[in-house]
Amino acid sequence: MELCGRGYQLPTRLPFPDEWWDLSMLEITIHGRGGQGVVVTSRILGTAALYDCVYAQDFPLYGAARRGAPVMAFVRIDDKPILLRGYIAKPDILMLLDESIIEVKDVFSDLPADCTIIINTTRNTEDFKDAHPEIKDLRVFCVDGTGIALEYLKKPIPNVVIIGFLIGITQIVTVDAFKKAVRDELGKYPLDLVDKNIAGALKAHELVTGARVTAR
Amino acid sequence: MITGNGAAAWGARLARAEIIPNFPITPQTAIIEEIASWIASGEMDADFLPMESEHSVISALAAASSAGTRVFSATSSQGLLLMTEMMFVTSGLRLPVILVNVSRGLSAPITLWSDHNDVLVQRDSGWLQMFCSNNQEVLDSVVMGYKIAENSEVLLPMMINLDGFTLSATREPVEIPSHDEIDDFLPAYNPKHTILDPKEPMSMGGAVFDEYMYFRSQQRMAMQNSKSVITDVCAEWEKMTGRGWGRGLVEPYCLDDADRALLICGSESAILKYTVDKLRKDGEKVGMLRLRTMRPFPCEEIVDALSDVEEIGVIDQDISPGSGGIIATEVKACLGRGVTSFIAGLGGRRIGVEKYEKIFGRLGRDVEEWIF
Repeated sequence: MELCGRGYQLPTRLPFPDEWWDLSMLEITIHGRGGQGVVVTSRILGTAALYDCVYAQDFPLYGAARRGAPVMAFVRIDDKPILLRGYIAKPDILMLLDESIIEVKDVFSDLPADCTIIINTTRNTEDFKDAHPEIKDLRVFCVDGTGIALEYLKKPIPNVVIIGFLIGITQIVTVDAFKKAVRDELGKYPLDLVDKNIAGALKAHELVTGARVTAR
Repeated sequence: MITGNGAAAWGARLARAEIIPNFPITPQTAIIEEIASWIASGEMDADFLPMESEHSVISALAAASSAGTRVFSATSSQGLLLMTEMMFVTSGLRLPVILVNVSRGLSAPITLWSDHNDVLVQRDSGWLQMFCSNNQEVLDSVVMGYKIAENSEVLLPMMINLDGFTLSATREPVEIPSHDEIDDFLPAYNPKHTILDPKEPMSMGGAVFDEYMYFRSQQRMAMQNSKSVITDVCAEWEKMTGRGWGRGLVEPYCLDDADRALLICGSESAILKYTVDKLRKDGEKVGMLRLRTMRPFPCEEIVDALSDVEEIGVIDQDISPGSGGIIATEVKACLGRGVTSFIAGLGGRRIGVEKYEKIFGRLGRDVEEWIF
């Protein structure tokens, strides 16, 4: 992979509205279950950020190493070298690849007031907030990632689709960098599966305009 | 974007290590897996020797190094402890073996997370010990390690430590130098002191009586010599890559006008730097000294860096029960004055910026404090 020389620069791109978070460093926490691509999600975001010529750091946190067990992964993105390490307790973005995690883990406690939450669910934001009043004041975006994944990949693996949705909302990485990163990180899989993942992600990316309106 | 484990594997690949005896242990296994895949694909020209235990790994490392080859392996925690007996043999035979340790707390109870007790158990084994603060430094240190260990003034094995999880499984951007660059910096290993060759038989490590103490004093001298060699090699590396990692033995940070400072080693130092930056913005005169080498212990460099600092604290991610923080004990002996000793982050327990801020507020007492 090509680094952008020694002088890294934050590219000019449309960032999230300024007041939504302090752009000094972006911290993302991802929850899901083993087999859903939680770790790959963090790797795609990290690699994509590097393609955008900003610094990144990504890492997983495993519990039991088996399919279905709760898994977490984390990403930090910044325009300067990243000194902070380890567990992210107060993320700017919280991604849930599996809604059932909420039943086994207290994922919504102590979130910062400007946290953005992306949830893989068939429910809409209003219903979801009704069911979880503790996040009613946060920005919550719901997407049926598994549904889109089943449509495009014929497999219930929603991670790449949900990243497409995430960058549709936040533009934390560019679409070009995202596509390159998906091809890198899914390099061991057949090419048509990689392309279907990207197609599903772009579909989710298109949904965003509607999602932005309902969420605000 | 590569992990600390990936960086260690790249270091071995760039240094053209020829013999890789190995045994798996979490969180180190990914290093050996990566090298195995390169050997399988022909990207790396080395012999991969799966052994039946870590004791055999270190024995094979010593044997292959005695035969004049450049060797590499990696281990962690309990695996490093199983090597103990042969660690002393390797340094006594003056073999420039490079061993990466991914630090992980010792059992029982079992933890997979970072803790420095495994490395510090080997403190007196006669190995050079290097601690890394990020993935780039891991790659750089492995390559530089061969140049330091193989120097005829040194000829000692070196252990390069990277913290489990916080570096080993964390990906960050790493610049990978080209083979050409490294080949110029680090020519092929050409041993003159020990080569096991059937045509010219040689006995190594045989029984001695009164001479034993002479050999030990030679080892001590080699350790002393290593200080200037480490500094020189780091300076040469800095010229080539722009990265000097402090002054080789220690890395001072914001110490020039500091009235309070913390001494630390390993990847936690990055979070401490972040905290120093934050407190400096509020006008607090705080600083940090990162210990890169535990052996040789850089006493003069520590005294030099901290002589004008009023209040000093030492963070130990290790504990010698019945004595205290191992690094704090050595720093006190070296400075000849009291320091506040903080035991923190055992078994990878999160310290974090808030706790470092609290720690800076609790300096100035010659006591031991546990930060939970």
